[in-house]
Amino acid sequence: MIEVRGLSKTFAGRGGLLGHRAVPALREVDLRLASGGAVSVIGESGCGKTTLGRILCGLESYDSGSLLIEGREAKQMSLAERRERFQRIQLIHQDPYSALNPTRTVRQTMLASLRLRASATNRSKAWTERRAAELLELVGLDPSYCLPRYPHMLSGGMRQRVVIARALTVDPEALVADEAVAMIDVSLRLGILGILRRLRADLGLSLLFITHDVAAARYVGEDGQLYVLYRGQVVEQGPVDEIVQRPTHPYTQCLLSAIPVMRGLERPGPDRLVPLRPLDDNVEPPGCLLADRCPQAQDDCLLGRPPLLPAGAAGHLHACLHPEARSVVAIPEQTASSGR
Amino acid sequence: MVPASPPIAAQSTGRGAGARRRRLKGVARRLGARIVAALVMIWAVATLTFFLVHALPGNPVQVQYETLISHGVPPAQALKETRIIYGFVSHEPVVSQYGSYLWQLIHLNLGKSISYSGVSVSHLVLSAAPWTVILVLSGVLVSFLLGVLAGAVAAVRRTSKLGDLLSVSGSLLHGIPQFVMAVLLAYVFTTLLPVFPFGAPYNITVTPGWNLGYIGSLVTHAVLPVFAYALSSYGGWMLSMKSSVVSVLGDDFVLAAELRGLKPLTQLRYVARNALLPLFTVLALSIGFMFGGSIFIEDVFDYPGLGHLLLASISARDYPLMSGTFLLITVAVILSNLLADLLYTLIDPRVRGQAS
Repeated sequence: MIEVRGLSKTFAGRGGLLGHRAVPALREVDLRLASGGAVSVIGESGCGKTTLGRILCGLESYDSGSLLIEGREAKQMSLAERRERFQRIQLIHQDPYSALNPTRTVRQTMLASLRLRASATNRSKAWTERRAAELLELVGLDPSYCLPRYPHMLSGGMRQRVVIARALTVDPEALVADEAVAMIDVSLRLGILGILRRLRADLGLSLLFITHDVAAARYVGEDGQLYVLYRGQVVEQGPVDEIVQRPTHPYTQCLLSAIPVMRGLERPGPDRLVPLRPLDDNVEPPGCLLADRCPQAQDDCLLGRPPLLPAGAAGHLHACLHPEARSVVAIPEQTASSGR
Repeated sequence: MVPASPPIAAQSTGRGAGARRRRLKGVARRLGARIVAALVMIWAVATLTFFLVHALPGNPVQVQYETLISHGVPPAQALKETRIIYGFVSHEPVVSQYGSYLWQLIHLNLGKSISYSGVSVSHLVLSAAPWTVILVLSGVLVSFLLGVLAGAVAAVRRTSKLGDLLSVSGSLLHGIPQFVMAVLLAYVFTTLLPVFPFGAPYNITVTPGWNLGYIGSLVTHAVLPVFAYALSSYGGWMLSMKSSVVSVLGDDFVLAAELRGLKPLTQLRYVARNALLPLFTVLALSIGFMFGGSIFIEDVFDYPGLGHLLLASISARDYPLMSGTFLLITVAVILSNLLADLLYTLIDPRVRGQAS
């Protein structure tokens, strides 16, 4: 189990001739990723979701709060333990073109870490070859086709499968998929998402799924938790279906309202909110962080930052002074046209 | 609509010997095409050289012929001698002159020099070439090694003082022209601090041959010109290696290697191999350019290489020698270009795949 409590991270910030402006990337984030569980994090660009993923992989430091892996605080681990534990959390990158070394074949890529694994566990050389083929099959690739090939000979979808197989060479307990399908051809996306779903079911891997695609988040972790991040703060969290169907925070409602509707088959939710105005990074409202963009903002929203409070249903939390349930996601058409 | 051609991977699905034979065939066809292209380029340059010499004011061939006549040589004899020097004579129509020039060229006969009377141009050029090759090859290698190492360090340590210092050293040295560098080094190390000898490729008191005195003398005389060359091209290598390493370091596969716990040395190998790829082409090309690339340095240090020969032939209006030297320089560039191409297919799998 991976757990973060009150995690905060502020980047020193660059740019601007007049001094550096600190950029808060995460503000007191609490998150639990149970073994075999799934957590999806959604939010717009710059909301801190990538930073969260990097911290969980041990790639980024944090300013305050704690990161617990199996109950052990990361900052108190020895270097060796740190390396050992963070190796169990593998990152799946967004760009499958830059994630594979162009000068090495898939076999070389897979064997590099399998050999280390073999020598650590006293396994034979033949095992590494067998394991490489096994892992490629697990992600739906033909080993005899892929192993001798260089990454440029494979399609984007195949590359991403190789990236996943490569992550599995170190027997991870958790995968952090950071926009893992954003750059994949739409027709191949479902295949990749299916693999992530299957890995959870078959290998008991836990999955932190970072995305801005709510449908993808729902597909890989129907039973999981959804965290909505805005300007580094968790504004709403709860079981995926609960949040998707009964969102109470205006920001979540705006995100869900922005999903395209297939007219003719579905009709837009009756309470759809207008799209948000662009984020102005330079202004930080004194109270609720969303106050300057929120369509529902009222005077008292500027006074204090609302805490994350229970919202009725079990596990559903939101941080809003004026939460209101709205039906914003598309509703399937029930007319005669669908029956034809 | 015509369906798009399937990706390379899909075309060569056949396994084993068949696929390998097909791939080899592709490589052979590519190699053949490159060689033909190189020959065509050499022919084009030779043709250009011929017509340039032809178009020079005062028609050097005619002048040569008339000089011989005025020296009392009988016309038939003068014609023969001029033909020996240039490979063609201007009394004939241009087309047949051009034909006989090419015919001589195919037999590797570049004519005879005027300023070194009676000596064949090929002999002069070939005896000057080794000096240039030794000088510039060591210059290129020294600057490449120093530049690549410094560039890699500057990229990895780019936020520290050391990285800044290395970057500044690159930009600074990159900005100093070769001849200034040559004169500067010569002044500092032969006049201010007389550590190294100046002028001539070796001490004339030692006998050339495989003896320690001669070789030692060669080396000490070569140090300054080699470093003049190396220092003036170091900046280019350093700066390009730095930007190349920085961009590779940003690639996700480096991060992935770190995450999987691969050894630092393995990670370094991944980065170095990918960062060196673009530099490799430039290296092969610069080895081609070295035949003509050291004129100023050879002149300052009185080194009897091709650059020196070229300068001498220009000031003596020795046209056969001039065109011979030009031709050698171009051929070297074309050949090294060819070599760079072929080597690149060996080291970069992405290019290799395009053979089929």
